[in-house]
Amino acid sequence: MKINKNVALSDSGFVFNPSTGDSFSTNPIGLEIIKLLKEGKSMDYVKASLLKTYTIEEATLERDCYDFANMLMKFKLTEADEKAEN
Amino acid sequence: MKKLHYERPIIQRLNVGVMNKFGTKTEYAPVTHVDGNAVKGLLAKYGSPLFVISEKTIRKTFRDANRAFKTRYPKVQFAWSYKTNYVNAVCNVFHQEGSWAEVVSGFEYQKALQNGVSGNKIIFNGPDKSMEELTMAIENNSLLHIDHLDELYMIKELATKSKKKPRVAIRVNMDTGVYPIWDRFGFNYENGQAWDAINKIILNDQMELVGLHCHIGTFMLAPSAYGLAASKLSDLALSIKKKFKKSIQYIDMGGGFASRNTLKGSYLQGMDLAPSFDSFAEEITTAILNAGFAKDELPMLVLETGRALIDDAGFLLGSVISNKRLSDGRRATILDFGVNILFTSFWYDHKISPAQEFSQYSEDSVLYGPLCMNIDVVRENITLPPLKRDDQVVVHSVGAYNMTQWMQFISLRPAIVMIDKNDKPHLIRKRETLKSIETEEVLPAYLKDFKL
Amino acid sequence: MPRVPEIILFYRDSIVRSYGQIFFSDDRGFSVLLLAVSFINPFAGMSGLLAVISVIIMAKVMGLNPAITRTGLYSYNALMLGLVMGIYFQFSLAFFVVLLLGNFVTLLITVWMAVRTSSSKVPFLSIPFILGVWVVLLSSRSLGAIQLSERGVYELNELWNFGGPVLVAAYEKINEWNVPLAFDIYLKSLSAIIFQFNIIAGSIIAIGLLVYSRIAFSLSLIGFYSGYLFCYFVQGNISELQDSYIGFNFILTALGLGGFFLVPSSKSYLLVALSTPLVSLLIGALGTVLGVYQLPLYSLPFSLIVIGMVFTLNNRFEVKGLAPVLYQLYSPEKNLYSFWNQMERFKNDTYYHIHLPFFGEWRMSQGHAGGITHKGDWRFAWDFDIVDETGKTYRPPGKTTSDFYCYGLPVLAPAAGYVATVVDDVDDNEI
Repeated sequence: MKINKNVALSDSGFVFNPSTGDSFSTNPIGLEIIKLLKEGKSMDYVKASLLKTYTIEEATLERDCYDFANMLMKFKLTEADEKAEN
Repeated sequence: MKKLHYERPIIQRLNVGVMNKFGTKTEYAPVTHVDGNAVKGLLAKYGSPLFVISEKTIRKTFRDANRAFKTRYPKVQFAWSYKTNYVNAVCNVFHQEGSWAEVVSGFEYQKALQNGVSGNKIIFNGPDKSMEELTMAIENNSLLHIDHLDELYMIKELATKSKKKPRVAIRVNMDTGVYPIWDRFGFNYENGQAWDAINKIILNDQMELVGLHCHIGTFMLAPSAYGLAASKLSDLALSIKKKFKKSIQYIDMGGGFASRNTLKGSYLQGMDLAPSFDSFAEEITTAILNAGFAKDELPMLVLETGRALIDDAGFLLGSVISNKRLSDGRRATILDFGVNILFTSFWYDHKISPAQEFSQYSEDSVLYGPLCMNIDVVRENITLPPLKRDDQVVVHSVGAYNMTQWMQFISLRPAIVMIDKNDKPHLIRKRETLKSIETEEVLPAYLKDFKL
Repeated sequence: MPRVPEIILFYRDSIVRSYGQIFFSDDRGFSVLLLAVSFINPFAGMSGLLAVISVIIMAKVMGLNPAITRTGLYSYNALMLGLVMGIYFQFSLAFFVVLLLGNFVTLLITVWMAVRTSSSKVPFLSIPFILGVWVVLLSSRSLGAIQLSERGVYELNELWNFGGPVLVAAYEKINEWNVPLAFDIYLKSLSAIIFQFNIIAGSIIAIGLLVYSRIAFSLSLIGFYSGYLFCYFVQGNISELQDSYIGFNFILTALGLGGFFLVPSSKSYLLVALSTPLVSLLIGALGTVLGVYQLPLYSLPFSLIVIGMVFTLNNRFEVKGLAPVLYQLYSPEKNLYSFWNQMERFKNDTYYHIHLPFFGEWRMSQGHAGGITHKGDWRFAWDFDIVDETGKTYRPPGKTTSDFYCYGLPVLAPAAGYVATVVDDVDDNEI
């Protein structure tokens, strides 16, 4: 999945989408994921990276990332014509 | 390389301009220990979920209440309301602090007796008292608070057979400015029924009228109502003195003081709304002291406070079973306790704290219990940090009514632990087993066998 | 009827009441009875009466307070001295001179002790008599003119001389009465108080005592027998008790503690029963010491014990149980009725009932001479506040007045009274 190019991020977890005018707040992990995705990395890469960095089981991570990705889509932070890759 | 602590990624939309009324900071601080005992450790040892009662809190609250009244009135007596929490260990803490017992049914009466309370210090309330129960209470010199005329006649009949003269009081209901008036209990003051009942008792002379009782409501937030009730009861007492030259020994103001839980639908937090013991005491004692009693005939003031004394001392520890995303995008968290053991979640928005450290990020969630019933909602809307399976939570102020109204439904009822003054936990009720459910069941023989 | 001259009344009262004083009584009938009984041994009687009269005259001449003389207070010790001397010495001129001098000494000691002890409300009992008698006895050993009388030795002869065969027969008859030993000793000890050692005197005194005061009579019995039983119990010298009638100390102790210095009550009776053993011990102890000098004990044990007891009881921090007699009416019954009367009439006036000015439990944060502000004119003030179990006087955070536990609580009047002024324009203190 790709994050909309215009989305602005701050280090404190503030996310701004200029196309809709919405602002969001996210936690450090969420911010990390969004950053990686914005850089163009795939979801699999993100998951692998997180697995290395944090103490978490793969199954839980899998679930949470899936959920997070859906939220991003719902909030229209992703590019509409791209499909989410699992 | 050491791995970092993981927290589920969340993203939350910020709504500009609308103040988030559910997002008060007080829900955020983690509660990792109760009275010096780690939540994790307690749950590991006694199972999840788990009720925890803090003896220190009980005693402190009781002493505060006692002081509030004793420094305003010469004769004060508390009676512990068994229906609020009749676990023997809890009752005995109150008895140790000097409380009598107030019971509303036969089995509660027996419980009080077995706990060691002497008969003459048990107040027997309630509309349903059988002949056997009344007989036993009369033999033990207990105080019978009469609810209706049928009961009055029952006692009258028993009095002729017994050598002892029953000591009775009547329950009076009245208009105290609050809605609703509980006029289903006791005799009404305004329409003269109470005075009528009093006359019947005194002129009859088979019973001894020793007190007047009222219990004007529950979770009362207006102390002035009590002041009004106290002055009406005092008026009755003075009228009795005037007509019959008889002094009433005590005025029982019942219970009903609010605790610090937040009622559902309340805009303000319960902590800000609940009046202090001092304000109730001020209203009641001022009313009685100014009523016009002669100095040495001031009646004893009896209080049957329950909820306000125990609620804050009770905690419910539980664990997260799973998370869901609802169709409208809200997060739902399922806990291992629900309305089956937290009955008061029907009335209150309990304060619920996570039991482990977390970041400042939070999201709106709804909390469900483990039952497969749609009404099993613990909190419809709460802002909590992201929780995952096996995270633990602490529910505050559950001491009142939960351990008496919990259901034997779907889940086995949990254990209850009391932490004493030295921070040592004691098991005061074991976790139920299948045996607890089946022990009273009788299976007819013809139903034993079946072929599938 | 012509008015009897004051002087006659004065002498009559002074003389008669001296006899009663020995028994802690001012009852005239009883006193006259004692006077009469003292003459059963006529020599003792005469000597005693002479002693009394002489001392009263001395007191008048020296200008002592006639009101006190009239109560017999200055003369009862001399009376006892006279009785003793009359028994033990031959009548002669020298004897009478020594008697007078001895009485004078006794009077001096009496007056000195009366003044010294009056401030501490402690009696002097028969200490002057004892000191006086020792002076006389010790000095008489070196005075040739004073002869010990041999009267006691030839009792029957004496009686014959006095009253002929009738008296002798009567005497013998009386001796044959089968009075139980315990009772016999009691009566004789009773008579020994006025130095008559026979059962007739004892019986008359007993009857007189019974008539004058039932309480005194019962006390005399309780006192005597409690001491006697104690002696028996510790296997003391019972025979000495019998021979010397020193048991009269028990009787006097009982009369003094049971109904004279203390209001009669079950507790005062108990005190008597506990004191007579002390007297008994003292008899043994003093007897041994004084025996070295061949000095008699007489009523020294009783005097010391009763003086000691009265002193201790008068110096109690908390007067509970044993009520002291504040105004002496010289009769146990009168003391008792007066006490009851006072209790009924003035029970609430003895201590003014003041209550603390609050309900419930408060703490006194500063008391008398507290040092913080209770100094000078304010040193007898009391400050009160309320603390919780942790010792704090406020609910946290304690930033406003209403956070303090004692704020707004009712304050009571310590006692009934009238409102004098109302001051309501003082602002609350700042926190």
